[in-house]
Amino acid sequence: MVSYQFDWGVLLQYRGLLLEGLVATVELVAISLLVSLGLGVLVGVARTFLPPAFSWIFGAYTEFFRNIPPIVQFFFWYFAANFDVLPAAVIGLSVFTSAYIAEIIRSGIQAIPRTQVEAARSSGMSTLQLIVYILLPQALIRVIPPLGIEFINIVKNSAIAMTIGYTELTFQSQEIEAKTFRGFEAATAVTVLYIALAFAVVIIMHGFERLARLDIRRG
Amino acid sequence: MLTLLSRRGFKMLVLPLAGFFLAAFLHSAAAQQESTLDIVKKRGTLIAGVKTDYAPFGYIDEKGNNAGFDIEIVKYIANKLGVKVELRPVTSGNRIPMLQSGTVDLLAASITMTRERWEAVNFSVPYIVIGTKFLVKKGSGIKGYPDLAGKVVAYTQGTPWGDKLTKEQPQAKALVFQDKPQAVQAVIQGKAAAYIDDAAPLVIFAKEHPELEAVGDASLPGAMGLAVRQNDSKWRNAINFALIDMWKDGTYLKLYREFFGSDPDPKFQIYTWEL
Repeated sequence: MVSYQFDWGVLLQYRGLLLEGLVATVELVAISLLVSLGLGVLVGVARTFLPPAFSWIFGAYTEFFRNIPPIVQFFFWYFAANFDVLPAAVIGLSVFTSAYIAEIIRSGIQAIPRTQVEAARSSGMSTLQLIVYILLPQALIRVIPPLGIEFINIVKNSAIAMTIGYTELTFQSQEIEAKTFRGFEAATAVTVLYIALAFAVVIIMHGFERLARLDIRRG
Repeated sequence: MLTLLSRRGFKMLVLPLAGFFLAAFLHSAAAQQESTLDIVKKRGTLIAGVKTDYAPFGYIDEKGNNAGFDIEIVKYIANKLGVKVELRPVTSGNRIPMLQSGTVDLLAASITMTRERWEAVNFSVPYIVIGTKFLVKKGSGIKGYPDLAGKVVAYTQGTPWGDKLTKEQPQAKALVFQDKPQAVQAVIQGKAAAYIDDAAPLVIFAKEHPELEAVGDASLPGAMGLAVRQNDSKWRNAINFALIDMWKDGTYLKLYREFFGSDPDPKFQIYTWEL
């Protein structure tokens, strides 16, 4: 390869594909964010509060889905469990990420001083009230930074969905490459878009943190 | 929020990024004036990109070794040049970038020649002519593009069948995979009504999965070529001369019969350029 002549015009020509891919990625990421958070909270809380006879299965869930490569999980939901493309991608991404989020939630809950638990119980609160009103709000605020990291991982791992035919952003960059052989330009455009998405996640999480944590609010 | 876009935060992000792109660009812009032939001879090894999931062109046999029509051709060429062979697995999607980036010297990866591809790489003389078919479930009644209206059709990214499908049957919905086995699996599970690809591999997939069959003609017959980088006539000549030798000494016929189970089309020949 002597000298690479850049042709950034292909990005303009194929901006439709890039836009389609971006929309598909945002759709997958947004749904998976919510589902994985919900699942993660469920599993994390269950693992912390259920008696060992029952909590072991949630521990197994965490170990199982954390340690299997996400691409294998995607294939399982699409081919073995026979879901459609988007459902399989959402389930695959959410279940995989929820295993990490469960651990984060668990550590967040355990970081809250036991005195609060004792105080709540002695005021007559049930375990459920304790979890919902006292522990979860505090835990969630505390773990915003590591949660932000997992959410960025969702953005990155969404690319794996292209292996089951989901035409998201990385797929579209390959399409542009296949049609124009301008791999560098396509990869650059997509890189910029992924960084922008991750940035958006970070900014939103930052905003949540400032809303929730009265001690770091300005003024 | 402004703290994030502060000078320090931005510098930490932008500078490494710029450095990364600069390094990538400098690496790719490094001139390569030597012919690949000299590079290969100096290195003592020919690095070829081949398929690993696409019998009879390139696949993995029971012993775990690369095998196939393309692989045998590469071995023959390396033998002629007096070098060893190193095989790198490629997919329809990444094979041309692998060649263009210099990762491989040659592509023997069942590439059908098209004008678009000629503008990105160069090819040897055609080394096989092959048609395309639809892989469908037996009894589906699908014989051609008209039967695919409103159906889901699978193909692999990087092959020209997506554009062909859009042209012939705009009412079909495309399902695009990265590797061949997934496309076959999609048809088996009914996620796709048909999978379009070259004839011989589809026939083999149908043999392995008796509930499937390869039918119809999905395109005009295509000529496949071994791909090399552009502006490297010395290397291209070496490849072509080796192919011609392979045709002349009967190896081509032997290999074709071995991997395709029949004789090549009598109208096909590799011209020897001898008068």
